[in-house]
Amino acid sequence: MIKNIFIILIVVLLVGCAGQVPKEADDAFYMNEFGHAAKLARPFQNKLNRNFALNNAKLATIYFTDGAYDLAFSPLLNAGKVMERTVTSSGNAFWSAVSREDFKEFKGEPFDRSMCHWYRGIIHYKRGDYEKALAAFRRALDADKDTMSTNKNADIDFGAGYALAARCYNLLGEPDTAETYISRSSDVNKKLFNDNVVFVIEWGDAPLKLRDKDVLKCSAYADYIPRSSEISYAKIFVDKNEAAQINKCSSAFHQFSCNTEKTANTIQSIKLGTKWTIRICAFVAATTAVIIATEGKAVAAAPAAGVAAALVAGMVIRTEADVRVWNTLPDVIGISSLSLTPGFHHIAVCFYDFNDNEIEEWRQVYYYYPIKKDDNLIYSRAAFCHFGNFKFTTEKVNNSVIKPEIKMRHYLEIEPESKESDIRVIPLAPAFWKENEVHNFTIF
Amino acid sequence: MKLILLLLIILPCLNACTSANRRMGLDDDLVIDTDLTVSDLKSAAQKMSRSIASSKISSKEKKNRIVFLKIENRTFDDTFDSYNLLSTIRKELMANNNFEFIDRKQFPEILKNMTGTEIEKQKKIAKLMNVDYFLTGRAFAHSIRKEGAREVYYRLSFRLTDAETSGIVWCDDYECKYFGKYEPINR
Repeated sequence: MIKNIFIILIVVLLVGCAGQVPKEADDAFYMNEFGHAAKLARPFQNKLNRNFALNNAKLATIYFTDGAYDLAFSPLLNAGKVMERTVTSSGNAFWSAVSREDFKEFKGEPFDRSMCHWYRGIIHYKRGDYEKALAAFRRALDADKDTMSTNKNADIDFGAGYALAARCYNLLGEPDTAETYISRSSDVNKKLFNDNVVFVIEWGDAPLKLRDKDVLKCSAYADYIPRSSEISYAKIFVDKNEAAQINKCSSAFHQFSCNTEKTANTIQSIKLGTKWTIRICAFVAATTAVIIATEGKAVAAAPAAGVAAALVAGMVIRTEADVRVWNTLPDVIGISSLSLTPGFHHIAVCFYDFNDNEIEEWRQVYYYYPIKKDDNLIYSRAAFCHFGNFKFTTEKVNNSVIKPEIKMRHYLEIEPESKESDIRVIPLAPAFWKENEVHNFTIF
Repeated sequence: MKLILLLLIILPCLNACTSANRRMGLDDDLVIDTDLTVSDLKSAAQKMSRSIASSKISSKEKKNRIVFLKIENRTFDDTFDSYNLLSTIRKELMANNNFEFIDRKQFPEILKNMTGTEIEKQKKIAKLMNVDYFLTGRAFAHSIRKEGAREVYYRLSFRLTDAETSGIVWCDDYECKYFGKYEPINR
C-alpha cells in the first residue's frame, strides 16, 4: 500500500513540474557567451508553463545585452503580457496556496514588470519610434507605481523611467508634460532635452531571493539579498576626454525591496500557521496514543513518536517560499546626456570603485561610434567581466564566402590578461551597425 | 495495482485537458483584463462614424473627401494599432455614402518630396488631392494602482480639421474604464 501511495505521489509531483531556463544559461550569460546562453534558453521560450514569463524575460536579457534587439522584442512582449495580466488560471493559484509557493505562475515583482516595458521602450527609442517608446516607458512607470507611492526616498524611485519618458514627451512636442516627468527624476535635469546623446548605463546584478533559514519559519519567507558590486559610479570619455559622470538613477535592489505589503506573504503565514497546528495536533495525538496503547509504560518513547508523527503530518502542507527571480537584470541604471558633434567618436564608459579607482576590466569602449545630429541613445551594460581589454580591428576581406561585395570586416579583439587565456574575438553585431545606419562599413 | 494503472492513465489525460477551441461572437469578451478590447474599438468606431455623419459637415449635395492622419498613442500599449481603428471608422462612414477617403498609403512617397513644416505639407497635400478634412485623434490612458488592483481609464478622442483653415470642425470621444486585480497569491 505504501508503495502505491509513493508512486501516486511521484506521478502527482511530475504533473506539477515546469521547465525553467537552466543554470548553465545564466553562467554562459555572465561569461559573455551570449550565443551559447541563448541556445540553452531558447527551447523554453514557447513552453506554456508557470515559468513562461521568467523564461522569456531571461532569454530577452540575453538577446538584449548581445545587441540583438529585434530578437529580444518578442520575448519581452510575451513576458510583459503574462506578468501584467490580472486574469490567471485558478489551478496554479490553488496549488500555490496549498503547496509550494512557486507552483503559481511567475508574475514577478512590480519592478520585474517595469523592466519588461523598460527594455521594450529602449528598443522602440533606438528604432526612432518615440511614440511607442513613450507608451512602453509610461507602462514601465505604471507597473511600479503601487510600490513607488509609498517611498519617500528619491533614490528608490524609478528615476530612469521618468527621465526617458520625459525625453520622449519632449521629442514628441509636448514640453509641458516633459517638464512634469523630468521633475520626478531627481538625478536628471532639463539638460537632457537639449543634448543629442543620451547614455543609459547599467551595471551590477539584480538581487537574488533567499529563504529565511529560521527553522520555525519552515522556509516560508524569502528576502531579497543584494549581490555585491565593486562599481560605485561610471564616467563617460569621448575621444579620450572626460565628458560626464553617471550616478545611480535607479537601483533594482531598492525597487524590489520596497514592495513590503504583500498579500502573498499573508497566505504564506496562514500556511505556516496551519502547518504548525497540524504538527502540534499530530504530536499530541501520537504521544497520547502511545501512552494509552502502552498503558503508561512507554512514557519516555511517547515524545519521540510524537515528534515523528508531527514531522510526517507537517509534510501535508509545503510552505517553501517562491525564490524565482529574473536574476539576469542589472542592479543599477544610470542616465546621462551629452551634446556631441555628428560624426564618429571614440566613446569609453569607465567604471569606478568606492575609492575612485577605475576598474579597468569593466571598461566598455566603442570605437568610431556613429553619432547622428538629432538623437542618439547609447546603451551599455557592464554586468560581466570581459577578461581583458578591447581592441577594435578592421581588416580587408579578399574573398568573402558570404557576400562577394563585402570588402572589409570589423571585430573586437580582446587582449587576454595572461598567456593561458584564450584570445577572444567578437565580431560586431550586425544589429549595431544597422540601427546606426552606418552604410560605409560592411559586415559579415 | 489496477488502481495505480488507472491513475497513471487518468493523470496524464487530465494534464492534457484544455478547453476546446471554438468560434465566438465578435462582441463576446471571455477574457476581460485592463486592456482595450475589440468590442471597445468597434464601439468607438461606430460612435465616431455616427457622430460625424450627423454633424454639420455631412452633406448630401457633395461628398466630403477625408484623409487619415495619425492617432497619437498616449496609452500604455506600445502595440496599439491606430490604423485598424481609423479603418473601421472609414468602413462605417463609407456606408453612409457622403464621404470619400483617400488612401494614405500614397502619402509617404508624396511627403518625401515635399519641404516645409508639417502644417505646410498638410496644406500642400490638401490642395494636391482636393482634400476637405483631415481625421486625426488621440488615444489616452491613465491608470491607478493600489494593492494589486489596477484601474485604467481610456479616452479615444477624434477630430476633423478643415484642410484649408486648420480649424477643428468636429470632435468627439469614446471613454471606458477597466478594473483588474491580481489574485491574492500574486499580489
